[in-house]
Amino acid sequence: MKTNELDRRQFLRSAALSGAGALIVSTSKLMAGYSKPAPPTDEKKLIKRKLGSTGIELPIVSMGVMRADNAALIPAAMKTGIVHFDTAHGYQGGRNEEMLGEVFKDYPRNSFIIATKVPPEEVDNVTGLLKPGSTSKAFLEKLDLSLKRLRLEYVDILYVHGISTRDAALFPAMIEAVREAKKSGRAKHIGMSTHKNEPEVIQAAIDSGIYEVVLTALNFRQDNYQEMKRVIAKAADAGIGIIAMKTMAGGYLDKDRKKPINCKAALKFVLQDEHVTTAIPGITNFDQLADNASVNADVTLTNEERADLAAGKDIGGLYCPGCDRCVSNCTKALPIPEIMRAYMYTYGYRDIEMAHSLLSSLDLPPHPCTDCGKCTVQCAKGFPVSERVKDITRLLDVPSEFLS
Amino acid sequence: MCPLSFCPDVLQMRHTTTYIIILLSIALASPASAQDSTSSFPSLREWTIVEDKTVYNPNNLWDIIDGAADLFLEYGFVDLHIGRYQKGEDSEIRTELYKFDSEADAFGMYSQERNPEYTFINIGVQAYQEEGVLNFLTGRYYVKIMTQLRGQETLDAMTTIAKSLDSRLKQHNELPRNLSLLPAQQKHLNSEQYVAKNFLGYAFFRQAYVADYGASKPFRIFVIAAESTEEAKSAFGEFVKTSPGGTSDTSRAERYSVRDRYNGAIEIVHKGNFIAGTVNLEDRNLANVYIDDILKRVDAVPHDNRVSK
Repeated sequence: MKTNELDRRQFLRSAALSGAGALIVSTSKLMAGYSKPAPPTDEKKLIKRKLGSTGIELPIVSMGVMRADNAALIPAAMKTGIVHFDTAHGYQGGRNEEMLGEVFKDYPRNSFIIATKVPPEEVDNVTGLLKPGSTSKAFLEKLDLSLKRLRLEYVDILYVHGISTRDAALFPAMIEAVREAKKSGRAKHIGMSTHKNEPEVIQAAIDSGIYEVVLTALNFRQDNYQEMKRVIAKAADAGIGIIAMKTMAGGYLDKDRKKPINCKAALKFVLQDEHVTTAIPGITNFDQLADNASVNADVTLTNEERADLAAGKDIGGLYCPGCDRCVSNCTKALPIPEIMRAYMYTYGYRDIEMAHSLLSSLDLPPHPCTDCGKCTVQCAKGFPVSERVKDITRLLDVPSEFLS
Repeated sequence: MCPLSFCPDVLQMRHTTTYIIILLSIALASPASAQDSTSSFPSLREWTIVEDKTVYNPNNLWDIIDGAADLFLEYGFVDLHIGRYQKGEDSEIRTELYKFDSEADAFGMYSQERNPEYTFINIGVQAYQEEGVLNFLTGRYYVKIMTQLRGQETLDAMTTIAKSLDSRLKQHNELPRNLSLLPAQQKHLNSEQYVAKNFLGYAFFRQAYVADYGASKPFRIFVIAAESTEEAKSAFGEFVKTSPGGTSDTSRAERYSVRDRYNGAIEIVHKGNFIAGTVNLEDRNLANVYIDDILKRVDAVPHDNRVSK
């Protein structure tokens, strides 16, 4: 019962036909009342930067397109001068690309920049390595489906989606795929997106000599921000364009999403680095659009915004991004990222009940770090892991009813 | 040493007696087992189940689905368990179990990805199956089953997994009841959506149930079920303020008609904790027929059954 490539191609074709057809009807409904293309307002005021050696120049704020049910946001964004829109093959099962295709059919092709991200077929989620099933052929079939959904002959930027290791960045089949995508005219420029081990991936992009753009997670809460700045500068020197994502660092300071980050300040923060060409904050309402678009004219951080960022970063010292690299080093294979989260709940959010609930769900051995001679774990963020595990797991000795 | 000594704030908040009880309890206490019923997948004959060690939560969902995670978080995503059914070296069926805060949230995320043209099958609240994909909704869970394998044997295996999971999860398998407030006439089959936030691109419009209507000139109808009358009134007022220049009519509930600068023709009404309206329906008479229909449906809902989601 192995994969039948012919069947898969047929599936992709039928998905392109049935999916695209259906969604074109659906999104046209959404678009029936939207404003038609209009020239950007006061374009002279926009701050623009060059995207590496691609020849593309972009306003510093672009748009991450997250949802297909708000198609009216796209023309509204165009009116503010935003021209670069970022989507992905997998967003909303393809509906996101479909919506963009419906919107942009009314615009001249040279009036917008579309970037999409196509994932390798098979990725090991733990190691980030690509498996043999990640073939060039499978990648290009997905790209073709994306182009059909987008109703475009080419995308301006094509990313290999979600690369987190050097090996994955230099995986021969992906190099072959993006090279072929560019050669055949299906992509004007090629790149990678990364939200894990970003410095390693950016360095690999530099070394590859192939990639022209890197879309990277970048925000004020990253502990390795200085390292990021250095490698971004190197990439810029090598002619690679850098586009920032996840600038809002999750949008909230807390798990319950009740303490919002000052998103405008966070956006301005990453754009202070002139090696960052543009950022793609996700925009889902008109207020956010106005807020983000205003940064295109003025990227200066106010004192109040600086203070908000400083306050937001404090909790960052407790934040474990869950890179999982520690897990394989731990002789007891403890779920360290989850335990670090419990630690953050306690010391960052002062929410002991939540920490207790999380720890209880992990099925940990009693006092897990007490009988190891020397801790073998090396935390990528430099957390004193053993010390924190010992500390926080004492909570398990307390029955939950005493915490309410 | 007191087990809570690492957190001085908490210490101060606890009475001495409580600590004595805690200390006495430590010896007897065993760690609570919060094993979630979703943490293991049903067995499947001839297949081995490998469950991913990592359970994804709102803090690390981006790790596995990158930018798509943002939308899941808008819909109250709780956690994601992944199970892989494996046979031999190459055969794998991957099963993803997404849990949400509420049934409406799960439906909302499911509806964001559902294509009305898919082939629907009878599992859970609703399921659809295409080659290599079987997705279904059951209560608070949105389940995605996918494989690169093909053939009837694979389809059967995927269906068996889906049915077993549906049975195992024991969820309430009905669509969100507020969907029944949407008029049936000319409604497009399986076009219904629940939009948790930023409906029509406005932050003040949340928890909207919406569907596509019409033939030659398509339009949309929506019902927003706010948490309270005050919240609905406030959102309605915000919209009137944001989209000025329309005409008001208070003779039949609080109505407003406007050509919204972003969304086109909008006819909107506020009553109790509900806001309803039409989008892109130019025929105002027809719009009012639909709105009257919704108001009748709203009136028929007992007050103690008026839930926001």
